[in-house]
Amino acid sequence: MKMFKRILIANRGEIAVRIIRACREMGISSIAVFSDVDRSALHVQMADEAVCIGPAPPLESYLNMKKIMDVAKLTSSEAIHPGYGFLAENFRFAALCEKEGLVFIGPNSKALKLVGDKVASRKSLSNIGVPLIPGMESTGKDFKEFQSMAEKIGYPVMVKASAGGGGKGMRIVLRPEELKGSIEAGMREAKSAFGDESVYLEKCIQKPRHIEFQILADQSGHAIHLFERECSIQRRHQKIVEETPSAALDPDLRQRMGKEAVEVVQATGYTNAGTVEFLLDQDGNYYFLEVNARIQVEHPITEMVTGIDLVKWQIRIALGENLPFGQETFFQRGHAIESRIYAEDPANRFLPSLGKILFMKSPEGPGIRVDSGIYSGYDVTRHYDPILSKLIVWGENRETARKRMIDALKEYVIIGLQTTIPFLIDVIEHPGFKNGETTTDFIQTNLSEWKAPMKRNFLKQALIATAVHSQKHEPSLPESTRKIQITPWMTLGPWRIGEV
Amino acid sequence: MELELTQDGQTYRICLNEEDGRYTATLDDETYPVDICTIDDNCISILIGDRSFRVYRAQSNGKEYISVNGELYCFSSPDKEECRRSDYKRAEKNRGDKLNIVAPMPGSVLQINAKEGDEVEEGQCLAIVEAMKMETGLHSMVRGKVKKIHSSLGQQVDAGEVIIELEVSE
Repeated sequence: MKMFKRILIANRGEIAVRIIRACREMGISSIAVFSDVDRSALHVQMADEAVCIGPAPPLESYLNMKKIMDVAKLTSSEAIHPGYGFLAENFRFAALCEKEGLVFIGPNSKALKLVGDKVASRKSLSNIGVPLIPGMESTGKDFKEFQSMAEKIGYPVMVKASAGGGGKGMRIVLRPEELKGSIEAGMREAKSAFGDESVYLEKCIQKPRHIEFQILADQSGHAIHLFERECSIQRRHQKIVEETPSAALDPDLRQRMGKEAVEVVQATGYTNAGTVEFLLDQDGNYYFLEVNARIQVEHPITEMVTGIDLVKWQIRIALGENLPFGQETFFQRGHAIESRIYAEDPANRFLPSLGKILFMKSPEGPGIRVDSGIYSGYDVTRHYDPILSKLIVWGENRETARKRMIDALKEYVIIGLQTTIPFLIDVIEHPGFKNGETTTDFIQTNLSEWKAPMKRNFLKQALIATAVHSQKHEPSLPESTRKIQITPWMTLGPWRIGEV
Repeated sequence: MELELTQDGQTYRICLNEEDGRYTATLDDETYPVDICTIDDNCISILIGDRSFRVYRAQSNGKEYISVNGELYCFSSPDKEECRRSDYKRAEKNRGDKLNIVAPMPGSVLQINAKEGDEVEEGQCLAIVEAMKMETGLHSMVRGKVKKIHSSLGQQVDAGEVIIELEVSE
């Protein structure tokens, strides 16, 4: 079968790098695009070709459809891989590709439009009996409509973006007086993240697990699932730890949910890789949430337990290749966990932490995979999503994988800015996580008051290393540090001003 | 050589002596031999007795950053620490004062919901700051009046910078 010769990657960061790797292995030339501030980004360095598409704000670069289309033509690209986020689930962009004779590596624009419109897809799926969470069937025309719906389904309710995903535009509303502000904030976030401000409401299920099924569907209508991923560990409705298999599914429930997921994509005429998301409640009831019509951030854990390369299959399906295997080909071998490394300060409400990565070293060893967009010297900009890299481990069972993850996180060195690493260590070491008691409120319940660990087990070594370096590279620390001068500061001990 | 280092207000003294490539370290009046091998600019291998440790380091703005077995340290010299503290103190003072609405992180001002002279309620959202596509609402902690707006829409602000100043209404 013929293969693409040139693919443009309309994304940045670790996912662009991941797609470049797939292209290389398939003998396809990769064309990166980048904004001004991303000239030194890893995807630009790694691609075969790279073209600047404009200034830092996403609307002027990574979301600029016309510009990206122009570059695709200029570089004779045959296909565009959108990655996740940015234009990945934009049916207008998929349609534009189709119109301009380029292959969009993702679902066809019609299916993308249907599943991308969460409201319309709910409507069509309720007809085939897929269980849904009570909520609005369409986006509200005015605030009154939102208000009466919220009263009808009962608080707490959830504001969600029609075009959404990744927690952007999503808000929990506990009380009626918060409704207006949450809807407005959700609309603004949706507008800036997806270019579409429609939001809707649904009932908030308490203490659920987030279970999603990976799907592959070819253009002949053949679809399979590649089992579940549990993504219950979330902060601000964004996943930070994912694993497969889920501790909550038995073979029967897994089979039923997988079958349902395949039915969802077949009913919507969906093609390519996708994810069907469910909420699983305490009693084993599951509710369809949405279809994520893209490669997911957490796709590597599925690759680790099934052995399949999802990005390569995205490319093959987009070219028209049919899946040569049936459902029975696949089984879950061992256990995989992913930790997302974000440039965020976990001790300060996960607010973004910006700056230069002074030094970085990734963990290594058996069963370890790092999908990364960073390097020593990389400057983390405030313009884009704070994801730096993903650490994925595989083990023959959950406990082996869990211990391997703890070790790998401890081996992961990132110096220069705050990251989620110390927080992730505490999540994975937590007895609740060890026991598989993972629900979407895990962090809020167990680690909401999290502070940077005050462990000082290696203080001695840290001090010696500083002294060694200071001696070798005099005067790397100012002269005054080498003399003992008693100042009031030394005798004061830790203190803070203005603490309430 | 003797070195004095501070972290989080705690001061440590370390004395490292080299003789014919052999080191002795003195810490908390305890002296012991250490075997040191500098791997490269960012990595030092330390043997204390037979126990092996790999320490990573980097330096920026006069601060020494260390990473060892998943633990992070940041040392500075006492006088540097004092400077840093006065910056920190200012930001903390801004934060601690309920009459100041301050940026919790570096970012840009997306929205200002009040103008000078406005009466505001406790809990009212007065401004929204955005960074990395995440919005954070800044709420009034008091019932009062807007005394001065220090920022304009779209302005870049640092963590701890005052965006809106309030006064208690009579």
